[in-house]
Amino acid sequence: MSQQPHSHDDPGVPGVHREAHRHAGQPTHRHPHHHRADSGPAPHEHAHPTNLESLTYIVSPVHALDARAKIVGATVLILGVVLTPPLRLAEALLLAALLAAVAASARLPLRRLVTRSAAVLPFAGTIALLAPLGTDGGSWNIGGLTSAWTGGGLVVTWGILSKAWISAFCMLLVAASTRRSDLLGALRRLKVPEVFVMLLSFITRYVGVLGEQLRSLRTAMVSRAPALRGRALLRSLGSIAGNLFVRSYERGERIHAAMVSRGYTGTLPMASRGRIGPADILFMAMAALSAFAVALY
Amino acid sequence: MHIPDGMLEARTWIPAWIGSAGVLAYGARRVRAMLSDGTIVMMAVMAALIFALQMLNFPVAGGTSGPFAGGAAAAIVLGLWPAMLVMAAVVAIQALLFADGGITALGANLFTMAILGPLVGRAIYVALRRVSGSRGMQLAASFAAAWGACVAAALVAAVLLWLSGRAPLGAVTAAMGLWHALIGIGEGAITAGLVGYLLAVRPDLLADAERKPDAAVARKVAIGLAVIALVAAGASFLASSHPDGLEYAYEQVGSAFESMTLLEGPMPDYVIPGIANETLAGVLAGIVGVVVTGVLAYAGLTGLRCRRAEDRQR
Repeated sequence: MSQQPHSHDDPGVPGVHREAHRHAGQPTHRHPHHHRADSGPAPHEHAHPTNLESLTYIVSPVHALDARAKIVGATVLILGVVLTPPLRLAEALLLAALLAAVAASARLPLRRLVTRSAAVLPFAGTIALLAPLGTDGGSWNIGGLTSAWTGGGLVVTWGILSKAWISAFCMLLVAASTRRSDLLGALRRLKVPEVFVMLLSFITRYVGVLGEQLRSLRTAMVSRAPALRGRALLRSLGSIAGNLFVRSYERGERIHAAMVSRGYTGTLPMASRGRIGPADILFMAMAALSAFAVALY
Repeated sequence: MHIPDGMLEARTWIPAWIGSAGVLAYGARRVRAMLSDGTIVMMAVMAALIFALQMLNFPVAGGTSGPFAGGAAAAIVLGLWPAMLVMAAVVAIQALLFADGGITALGANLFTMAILGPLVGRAIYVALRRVSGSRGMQLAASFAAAWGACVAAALVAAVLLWLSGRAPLGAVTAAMGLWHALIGIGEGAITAGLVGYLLAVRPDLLADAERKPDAAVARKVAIGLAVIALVAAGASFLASSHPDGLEYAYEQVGSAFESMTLLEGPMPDYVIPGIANETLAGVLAGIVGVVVTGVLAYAGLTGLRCRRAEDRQR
């Protein structure tokens, strides 16, 4: 918990607060953090708000919803967004207000989610800039600076960018408000094949470990050869990948041995607590109604 | 290359979802039948590894950097079916937890990155390894496999975008193809480095993977993909003869902006040469068609040859 660099910005983020505390082996200090929902009174058990997963430990009504309801709700809403013609201003505003309301009641940091979901824009933007070429009489003349942007093209560009951004924000809301284990359990209960859920759960469990290992390998490389570039750099990166592969393979053998010795018989026990309650039904109904409103308007 | 939501039309993403789900479900069954529990745990750790390796950004020309995708590398070291499932898990996690690639577009993303990437990579690798067994050939085969997988996935993603009427074929394939031909070099170099490292440290792991009897399966999948591609193409041509609601709406809303001019310049009719040129777009379309067909046919032929070799061994 104490390895991550402490971020001192973002003082006013909802769900995050500052208070003096201590990490193991470190002096008392303060920085924004969330408290883990399940940690009880222990004040120093908390997750850092530096990554998305720590946001899932915030306590809020949205976090308390059944994971299945959130997955289904987000999927339905995204379907509505995807199937409609380019969003009109009223539709876009409705969706923005709705998603902002969900983010606020989930006590999630809105600004970070907005910037994080904007990561889809570079790729979407590239295609969105090509899109005007495909519309009737479309031409793309040096960014429209030297003559008219064709009207249809502009609408297509807006349609692609707005839909990609809003859909990404929807999924990010689900990812930021649902514990990893609950999300995987929900997938299992939504009848996703078991082998697949197991692969997903191993990714969420071990990516941190392997990522940390990868980082230390890169640190080692940079500290020994800071000026590597070009082919030499690519070759070193290849060796790092191979090295991590061998380590992971051997780790896999150890993990399997440990699992077998604890009684693993081929199926992974999964938390399947929780039932669909009135709040979950309300949430899904809200998502469905919004999706219909957007799709049919 | 993770296509977000809203960029593909229903006529593209629904067939892509069905096709990918079918192939992966079949793959899951094969893996279940082929492997013990232990190897499945191993695969799961490998999925985490590929995900971690995707944090490996390498420099591409001009100060930008490209991410490592790893589909071909997975196919080389794990075999075809495990690699497909591993890549599918990685792509699905990216869509679910990081909003990297859409939910409706997940089928298409699985198709390009989790199915086509490993398939093309494995086919190229197996074919080249057949030519010569030397270490140099093995490295060259790994490089070619990763580069081919990267470019093939990008080109098919471009074709999917074109089928959705999002961009003209020439422009989108040129943009995606050229960019990924560049990224593919880094991808290929890292994959070759990985294989080289394994040859030096744990050649047994690589030899295990090469003995996997999945080349015959590659043929079936290649045929399946060809059928899906044909159906998707047919459906899109049918659809395009009846302008659908979406296109109608584009026209309606679009007319409001028709007369807007941002800045009247000295060359009002200037169009970037080539991209909007129909003949060139047609030629590019032809090239892409030949490349895609060639890759599929090649994968199919490789599958056939391996199967015969297997039969002879029996």
